[in-house]
Amino acid sequence: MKITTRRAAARALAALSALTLAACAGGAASTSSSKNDMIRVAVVTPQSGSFAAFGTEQREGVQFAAAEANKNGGIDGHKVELYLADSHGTPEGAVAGAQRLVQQQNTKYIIGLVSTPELGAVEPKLSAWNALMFGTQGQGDALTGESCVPGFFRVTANDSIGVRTLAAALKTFKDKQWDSIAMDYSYGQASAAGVEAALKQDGSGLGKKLFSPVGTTDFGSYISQLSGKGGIAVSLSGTDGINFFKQSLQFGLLQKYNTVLANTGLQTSTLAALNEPRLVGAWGTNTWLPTADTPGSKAFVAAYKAAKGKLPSENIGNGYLGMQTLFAGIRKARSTDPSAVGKALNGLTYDSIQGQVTMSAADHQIEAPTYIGRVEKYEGGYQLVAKQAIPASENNPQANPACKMPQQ
Amino acid sequence: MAVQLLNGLAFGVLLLVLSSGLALIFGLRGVVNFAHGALYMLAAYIGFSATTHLSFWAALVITPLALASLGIVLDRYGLRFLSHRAPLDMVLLTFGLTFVITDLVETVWGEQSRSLDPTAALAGSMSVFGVRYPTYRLFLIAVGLLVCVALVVWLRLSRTGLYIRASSSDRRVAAVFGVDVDRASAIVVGLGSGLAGLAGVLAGPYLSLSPNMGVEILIQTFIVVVVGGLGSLGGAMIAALVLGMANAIASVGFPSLSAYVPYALMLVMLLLRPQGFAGTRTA
Repeated sequence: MKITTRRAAARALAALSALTLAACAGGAASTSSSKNDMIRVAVVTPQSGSFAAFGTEQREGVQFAAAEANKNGGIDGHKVELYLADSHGTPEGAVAGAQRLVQQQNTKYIIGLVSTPELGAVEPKLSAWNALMFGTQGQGDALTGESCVPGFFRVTANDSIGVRTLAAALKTFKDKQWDSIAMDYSYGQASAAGVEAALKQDGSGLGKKLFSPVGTTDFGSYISQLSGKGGIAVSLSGTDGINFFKQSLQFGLLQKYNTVLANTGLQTSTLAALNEPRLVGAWGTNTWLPTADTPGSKAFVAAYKAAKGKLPSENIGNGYLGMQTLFAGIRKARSTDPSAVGKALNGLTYDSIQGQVTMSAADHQIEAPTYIGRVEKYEGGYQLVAKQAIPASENNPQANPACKMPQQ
Repeated sequence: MAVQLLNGLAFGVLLLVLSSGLALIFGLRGVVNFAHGALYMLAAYIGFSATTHLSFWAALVITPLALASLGIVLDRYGLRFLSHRAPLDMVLLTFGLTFVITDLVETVWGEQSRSLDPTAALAGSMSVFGVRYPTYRLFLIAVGLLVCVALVVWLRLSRTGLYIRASSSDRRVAAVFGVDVDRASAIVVGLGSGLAGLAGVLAGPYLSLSPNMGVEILIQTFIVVVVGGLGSLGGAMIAALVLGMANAIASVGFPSLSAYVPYALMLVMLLLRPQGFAGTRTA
């Protein structure tokens, strides 16, 4: 019995020593940087739930960027190592997944979360974890507004930028009568409010303004309320968008409008699911489009197509852009230490698939163009083909004044 | 107004077909089948592939039969195997199956949403009560109602239906009187799964397909079964149509509250008539 107790005590001591050593090693990795340091990235994406498809796309973009960087010898000699976790599409799942990888795998960079609630749940933890997070999809203004923190950087448009892009698109159409249907969610509400304000400024009228709950499957009741006159602004995404476009075509409604304009809803995945020739001529906006006319975008699309045999979707591109931003910060800082990379990213101008972009030091919101495109037959399918780029000076004229960036 | 009624009827009929299977299985086995939504989703994807490679009409026959076979296997090697265990074991089995089926679908068909067009004969729209309405939705209403009427008639008039009703009322007494309750159970679980299969195929050209579609509709289906009366087929039918109509009317009259309508309906029913519309009467 005594022997057993001694053995147990010895094992406990050994385990404690090992833990102490590991903790020391972890501490060393987080405060110093050498060429041998890996860039350890936590890719936390929803792999289940209603955002699972978006999560897979984000993961593909991040993985492609990491593979490309490693193939070229790493970033400043540092190889990229990815650790994957499932956020389950929920705020608590996002925190649990990110925390596990930060604490167990010593990952210092987090990427891949798609929704504003997920990003918003992880954002306040970044300082305690000494980690940086890159927002590649969630649009909520607050993330780079009242909730902004030094460790969070957003590389895609926020709600306000999306609305300004939509307003710019609305100005290009002659229709004086519009209807609006939007998701009853921050993105849809901001979008509908933006449409209303833009039309008012333009002297056009807003007829029906409808909101559908997130996850609406049958849009019949909404479709029957819409007029079919002038133009329609659609702010629905994911399966909600697919259901609306499909059913409104079945009802013969969409065909009655002169102009159909979707705020991010006509994505590659939506158009692929619908595979619908009757959508040709519809207009849409987005933060980045695979048809964007920039050298960086063209090079990425060509490389991706050569490797995967298909066009990268918008979210694949956004995941890739998030990694480009991380790599730019590491190159500038000449370090993999997250504090140094965070400081280097403040106000940094760098080349990306969006052309030359700047990470605003004031609110950590990327200053990059957004796009207006038209649905056309494209490489055997249907694609939103970029027709106009809205420069950052127009889509994001000033940093979010609600952001009081805490001192780093 | 006619369009709103038809909209309510279309979604109500889809819920009706789905909830009929769930109610039947609960009535006889006493199992809340959490995998019912996943079976519906699996059927939608099988229907998608069958339609793509064969035809919609072939999918309409093949898919319910495939799901019914799966249901019989589920009953024989799952529900019957665990019938003497605690109810929680059944819950774990059916809940676990949801994850297995979802992962299977994501592996085979991917996570991306998909969409299916109605077959040429059902594309376009028709004039009903003076308004143009999509032909496919009318087809869905007709098929759903026809199947459910046939189900009630079969349960009421056939010998097997009598055995099923007897087994649902009291399994032990039915066994004492010589009813093969295991066989009745296999038929019911097979039939219930087959109905989930039919709902899945019918949903294809109506809604979009995604691995999450089963979870989205399962909650409403549970509400239908509770409001209708646990295990009651007739009650579930009435509840499905009421819920479909309430959804359609609320999204026009009170759009900001429409998401709460199913839950409000369940709350009111549980407070005023906890046994549901029809209690526990099978059919």
